[in-house]
Amino acid sequence: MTKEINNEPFVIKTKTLIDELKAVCASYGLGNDGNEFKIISQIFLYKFLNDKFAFEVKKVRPELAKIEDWESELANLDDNAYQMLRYQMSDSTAFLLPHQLISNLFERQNDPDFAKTVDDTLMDIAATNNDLFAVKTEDGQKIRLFDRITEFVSSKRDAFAKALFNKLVIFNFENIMGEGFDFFSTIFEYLIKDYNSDAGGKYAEYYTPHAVSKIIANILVPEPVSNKTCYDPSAGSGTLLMNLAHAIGQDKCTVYSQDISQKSSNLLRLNLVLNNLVHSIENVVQGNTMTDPYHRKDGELRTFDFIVSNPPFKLDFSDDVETLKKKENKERFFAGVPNVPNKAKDKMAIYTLFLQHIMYSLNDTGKAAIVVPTGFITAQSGIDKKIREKMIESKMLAGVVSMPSNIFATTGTNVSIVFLDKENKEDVVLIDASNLGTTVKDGKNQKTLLSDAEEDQIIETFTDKTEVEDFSVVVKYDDIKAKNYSLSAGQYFEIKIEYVDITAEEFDAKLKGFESNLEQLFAESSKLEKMINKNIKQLNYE
Amino acid sequence: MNNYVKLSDICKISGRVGWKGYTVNDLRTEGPWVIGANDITDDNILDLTEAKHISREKFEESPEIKIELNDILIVKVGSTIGKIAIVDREIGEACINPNTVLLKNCKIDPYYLYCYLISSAGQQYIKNHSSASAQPALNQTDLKEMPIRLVDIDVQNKVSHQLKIFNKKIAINNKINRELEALAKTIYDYWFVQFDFPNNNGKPYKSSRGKMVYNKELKREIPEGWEDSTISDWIENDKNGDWGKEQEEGNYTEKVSCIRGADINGLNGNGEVKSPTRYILEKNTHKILEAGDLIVEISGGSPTQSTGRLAFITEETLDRFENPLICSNFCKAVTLKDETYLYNFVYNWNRLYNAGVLFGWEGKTSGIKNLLFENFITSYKVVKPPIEIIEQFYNKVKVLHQKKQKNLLENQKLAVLRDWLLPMLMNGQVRVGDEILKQAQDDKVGMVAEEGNKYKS
Repeated sequence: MTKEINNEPFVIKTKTLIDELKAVCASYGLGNDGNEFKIISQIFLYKFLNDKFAFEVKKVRPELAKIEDWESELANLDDNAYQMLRYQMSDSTAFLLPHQLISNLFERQNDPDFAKTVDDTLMDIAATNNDLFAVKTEDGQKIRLFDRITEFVSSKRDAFAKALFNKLVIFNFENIMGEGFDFFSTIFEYLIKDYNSDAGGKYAEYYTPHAVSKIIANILVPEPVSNKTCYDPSAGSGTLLMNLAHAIGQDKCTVYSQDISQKSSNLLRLNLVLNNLVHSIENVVQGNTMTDPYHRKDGELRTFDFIVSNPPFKLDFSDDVETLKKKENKERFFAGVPNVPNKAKDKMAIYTLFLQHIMYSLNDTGKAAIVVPTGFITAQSGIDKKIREKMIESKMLAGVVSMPSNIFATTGTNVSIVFLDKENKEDVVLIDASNLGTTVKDGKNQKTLLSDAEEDQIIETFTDKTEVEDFSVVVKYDDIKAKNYSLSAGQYFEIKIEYVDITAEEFDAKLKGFESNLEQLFAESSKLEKMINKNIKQLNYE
Repeated sequence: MNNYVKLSDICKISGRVGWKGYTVNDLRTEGPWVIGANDITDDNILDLTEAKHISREKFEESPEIKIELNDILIVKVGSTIGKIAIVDREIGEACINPNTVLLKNCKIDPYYLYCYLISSAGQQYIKNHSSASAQPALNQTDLKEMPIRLVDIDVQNKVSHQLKIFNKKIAINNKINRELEALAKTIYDYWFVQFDFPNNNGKPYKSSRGKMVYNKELKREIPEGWEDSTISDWIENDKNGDWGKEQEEGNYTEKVSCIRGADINGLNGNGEVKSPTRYILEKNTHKILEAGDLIVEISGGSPTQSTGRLAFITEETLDRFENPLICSNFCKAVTLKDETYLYNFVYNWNRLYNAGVLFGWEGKTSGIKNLLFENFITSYKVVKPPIEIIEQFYNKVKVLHQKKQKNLLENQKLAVLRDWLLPMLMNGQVRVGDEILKQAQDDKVGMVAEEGNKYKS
């Protein structure tokens, strides 16, 4: 907590920079244009890589830190000495040539064709650093780090480029390089907040709420581990992966991902760069995980130590059904491929495929956490039930946490988190957290927020496998089988029905009480009956 | 004497307005009542079962809206605008909430005024003077101007006496029903929860050292020879709900009354049954409910109320309706293998329901809750007593429920008669003999004498 206070000025300055870059885009007619996002994220990334380079180069050559015009000093190095730097510097840093630095470009801002210079420079940086920073597509193409960003504006490109660079030089990021995960996740979220909606897109890129990612990361990694592989088959912007990687330690794990959306893959790359996971960018793949799972090892689909996922729940995959039902996918989709509803193809329960893919992609000691619609945990037939059966029969279910409603601001569907652990022996923890949280208004929507204490309560209860009345139960695989494979905690709660025995005398006294009460009431009742009858007889028409 | 006066001429009208409002923070778990639209039934009767309490400070702040005997309440805002209640009994300290106005110091027979306000003349005036917005409201100045037809004091007394007798009889019937219900539950608990059912010698089983055996499934001791079973063991089959059509059309020809979740309490005798008339397909007539069927609410509920509310159908229940009954799609009807199990099923289910067990068996996919009915009845274990004891219980309780349903039927008929008679009495179409007046005076004396030994239980 105290740390937050210390980095508050940095947070404000970084957010200010982002706001100003957005303002530049807006004044050049790009407000809320799809391309605005590309410009903002790429120019921000360029700024970050530039300052990171400065930070790293000064580590290798501390004398540079003392010189104000260190860029000129650097430019004076001869070729050999400059190339030597490449080997001395951290291998997760983009390597820039002197003329590619922001300060040098800034000085050339009044040259003719400045916009072209900027675009060329960015393309050069992307080309020379392609090995490190390119995202692959499933067919082996590489998506470069940068586009020609000034070409997104139709006129006054030079002025536009100039305006951007005038913002970039104001604040130096070198000081934030020592900041940690909390800082960068705050910045990342701020950077993408305007672009992370499902507006107009088939692939909704909901940002996984903090509570969910925190709970998942903490339950999956209760104690230190190292040298682990982490995978998300529907990574989106990578919130879950980043939280998991942070819990394990950025230098102790390698991250793998696949996501059908290119925008997501770009976001994820940015997230990885910010979070010191550059070495994993080579494992970021854009493509359809269901039809073309990319990550393989020795010809087989690769298996992982940790898998996290907040997959799309319902989506139209009707075109892929044929492929999914092919023989080679039989084993992976053991429970089957969901039906395509006739009238609403987009209501296809696609999450069941992700669940099956994840179960298939866990190694022998693997652990996973998947966000599912709460309906999954109780459905009495179909694929849902077959999947639950398999989780129980092969003893890989570790537990389920049912979250409060409206934990995602953008959807009313209730969600639960399913935890898998191939090494789990016997005890399964079921938590019903649906009564926790405080409801707040978030724009037009209702949203439920969990407090830190409530999140910790969920994490500790799960990790320690404790039973708390009306909140959690610890059950055996056989108990679950006996309850039709239902994973709803409420069905296992022992409910004590209060009852105090009474003596025979007390019972008799009670009966006597009823007797006399009724006697009196009946008497009164018949008196009234008589009165009513008498009255009716007294009524006459005028 | 047949003239009109303004309402403000015959009583004092006050409301909780402006700064006299209150917030949730002023509510308490005990203390003076604060009464509003929710505490007046659609039948214009004061019902305090759900009423809230207010802080003493707030209560004392506005003496002019404290409620006393013979005061009249009018709902002045909202969808139930125009509901009327008369304070016909001592209710202790109470005041009104902002959606209600209070009429005090009535110079005419307050019961007559109450009758007038609920009559079509009164209700029409209120409707005509309500603002036509989403949240209709009645202006207090309009209310003051409301014309009240004044009749001779003798006629006033006669009319109000008629009404009192009807209402009193309805209240007595409801009270009898509560006693009958409590009696049945006492016996159930004593026999089947405490296991002190009559043994072979007619003595309480457990207290007379009847043998108890630990049952692993139920995790408790039960009498030797008793078994555990799932609820589905008791059930023969179920009937799905149907909503049909509002009008008769095409093949939708079978006229039925449809029991919805909202009607379940009324069916059990708490509140009204307003089941709509619908038309269903002839081929769906197998869904029509029969005596011995149970109705379970499978969709609905709220954060504080689980799904799974239960009602049951007896011959007497069916008599309360003109049409055959079905249940809506949000309910499910269940037929038992053996009708003798009916009351055991009902009391056992309600015991589980009241303990909140069914909260754990709800699918919460989105806003609305669904009872995982199949799952619940096939995996929840209950104790299943031997048939001989069940039969004894059935015979004991059956008559209680017969009487209860008869009373409900009687109340229904009384209400109809009352609502038919009152307007005619008031406009003089029907004249009342003087005998009634005498009776009314006698009764006043009688009621006071009764007051002493009434609400003892």
